[in-house]
Amino acid sequence: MTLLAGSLGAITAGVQACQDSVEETLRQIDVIRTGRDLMDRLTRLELGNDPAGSVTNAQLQELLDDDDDLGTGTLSSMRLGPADLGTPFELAWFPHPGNWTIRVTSDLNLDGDEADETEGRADVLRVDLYFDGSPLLSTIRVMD
Amino acid sequence: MNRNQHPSPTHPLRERGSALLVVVLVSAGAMAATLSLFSGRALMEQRRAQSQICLEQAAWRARGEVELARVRVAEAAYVGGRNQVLRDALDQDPPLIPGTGVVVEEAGPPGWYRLAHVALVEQYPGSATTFVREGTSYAAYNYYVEDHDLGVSGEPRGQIHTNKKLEIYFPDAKFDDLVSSGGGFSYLYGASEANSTFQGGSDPAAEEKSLLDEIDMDSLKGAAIFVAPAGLDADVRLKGEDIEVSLYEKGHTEKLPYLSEKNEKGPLVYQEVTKTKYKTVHKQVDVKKSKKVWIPFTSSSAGGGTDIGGGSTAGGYWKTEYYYVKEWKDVKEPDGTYKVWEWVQTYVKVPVTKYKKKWVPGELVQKSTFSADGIFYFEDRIRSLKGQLNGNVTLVSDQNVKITGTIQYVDGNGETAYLNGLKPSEEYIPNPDFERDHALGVIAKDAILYSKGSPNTMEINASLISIEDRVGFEGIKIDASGKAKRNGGKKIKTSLRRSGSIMCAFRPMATLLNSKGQVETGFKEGASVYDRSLLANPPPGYPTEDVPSYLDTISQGGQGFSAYMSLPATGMNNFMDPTVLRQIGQDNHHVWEADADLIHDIQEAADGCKSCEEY
Repeated sequence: MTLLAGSLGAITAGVQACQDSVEETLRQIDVIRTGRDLMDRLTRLELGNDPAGSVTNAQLQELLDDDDDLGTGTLSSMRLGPADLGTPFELAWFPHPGNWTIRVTSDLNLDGDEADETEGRADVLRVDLYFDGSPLLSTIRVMD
Repeated sequence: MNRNQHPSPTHPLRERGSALLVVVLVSAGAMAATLSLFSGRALMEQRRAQSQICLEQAAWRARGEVELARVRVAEAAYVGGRNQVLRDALDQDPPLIPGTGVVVEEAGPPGWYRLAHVALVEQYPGSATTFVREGTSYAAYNYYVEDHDLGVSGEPRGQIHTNKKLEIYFPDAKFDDLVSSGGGFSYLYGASEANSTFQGGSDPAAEEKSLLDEIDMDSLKGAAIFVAPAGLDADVRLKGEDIEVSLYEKGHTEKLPYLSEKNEKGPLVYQEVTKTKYKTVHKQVDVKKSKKVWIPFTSSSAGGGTDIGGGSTAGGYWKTEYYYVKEWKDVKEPDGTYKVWEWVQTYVKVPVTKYKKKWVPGELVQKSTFSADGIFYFEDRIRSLKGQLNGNVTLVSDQNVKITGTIQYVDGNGETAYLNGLKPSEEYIPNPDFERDHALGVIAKDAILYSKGSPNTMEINASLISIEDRVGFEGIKIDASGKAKRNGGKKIKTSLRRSGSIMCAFRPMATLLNSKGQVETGFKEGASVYDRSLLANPPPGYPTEDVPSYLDTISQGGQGFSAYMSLPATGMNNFMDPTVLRQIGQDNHHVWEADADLIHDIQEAADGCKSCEEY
């Protein structure tokens, strides 16, 4: 009986661990798929010539809601300084808890400044996407 | 049994316990095996998720690197029409764009290059590729005007630029590519900034350009496969895979005499004449009155989607309406006749010689047929151009060109490039069954005109350049300041549908409106469609602007394609042989054929629904 109880206990723990692993895997898959969708929107968004940091909540809402309309915002309006942490938000339609962050800067190599070659320009921007504080995807956008 | 005694080994209780143990062990073993299977599967799924993440991250990083390379290429100097960053990179081994890990190699039609990069994240590769054309063909512009304002309406597609003012006619104008002008935008006939859409961006204070000055006529003449001498007018007929060129002596006008009559005064004759008596009657009669009524302009006014001009800046016009009212008036009515004798002037007819002008056409000097492939240069004018083309041709005239009929691209199966070019009530859309390998460029030093005698419904597939004059309807005259007026009598035609591009010094105009917003002369309806295929496959010898042009960047997880497969471990190890892009059975010794297919497919994919949207 002891052996049975012990075996059952171990098996239960094992099943639980597997279940947790499966849920974590599904969560990661949802995160990367959603991240891909967000990055796709950010690369389709017009670069524009708006002042840095001028994006409004309404424009973010238009960009991040669950439809294909990117709204009136521009990538340049989301640009922040190299020391800024980015624009945080939550997605109401995302099935898992967690915070997203978009960070748009001219610091192309993430060394904390905009002094290197091709940096500090409004027509070449680095786009970073974070989930729960961890870097997820990054790319560079240039003016067409 | 004594309580102090143990059961024997064969006692039923001991046997039952053993069986139970076996069952437990077997069950536990089965569950453990199931758990192992389950956990193994979970581990595999976790690894797959992790690989997806790495592939996705690598693809986006690769895309970013290619974007940086685009910046380098875009900012490079040009020497002799060659982009120096591309040139310098191609001279290196490996051919990397400086400051990036992006490899460049020739790909596709002449002047096209592939930029490719592979990034690694935990040994998982992601690739990005873009195609760049070293120079932007002049055919990239839908409209380009240097010295005058430009007026457009509807939904013209492709890049639009004027060094002066851009006039946008009628509400709901839609532009899908960059629209720029040096003199600002003005909105007419109900158009406004609010109801005009600039999907590709707009710049109402752009720098002036002088692209027409860069066209080298001597170079075009030197590269021509046929040069028609000066002093002869040409009729050019596009006949599928052939071009028929007929050269004529210049015609002239002769004065031809003919006999006629005229009335001259004869003698006075004294004779009896019958005259009418009148009486005054007071009666009610209809009296014509007039009043002015304000008519506002609507979007259904003339001009559907073409180059347009004239009219006024008001939102409507005053129209005179007539009506009749009955009023009492003194009216003179006949009241019999009477006879009287008086001197009457007589007239006699006398013969007279008059003269009339007669056009004597020039005689045919030479008629030749050529394969529709290459540059044809005419020292004099092309007085008639029309037909169907299945080839790649540039026609160059040192004078003017007159388009006298429809010009269409047709393929070997008789399919036209666009559907409904001659049916203005139907949509003007690309033909999905058309096999594309066609380009027609027409370059004239003077004007390119749509003849007054052309059909009422016409289609033109071509890129048109007038270096020192305009492209437009023959029945419209443009003065030096860009003001338009009718040239001769009214000639109102039904529809002109055009795909291609127009570049000219003076204002292009196919439709002239009067002050009431109605068509004064020209085409009532129209459509202008930018031919994106000319970007990848411009007409032979077509001039280019020292600006690189790109297809959209494509990124994906996994390997990229490049001939440089064995580059050092900088993330370039995972290229695949681009020759695998060829279809099975195709000849293997032309890499550009595969890339041309890829360019076409990529271009279609990048073009997306732009090719199937309503115009």
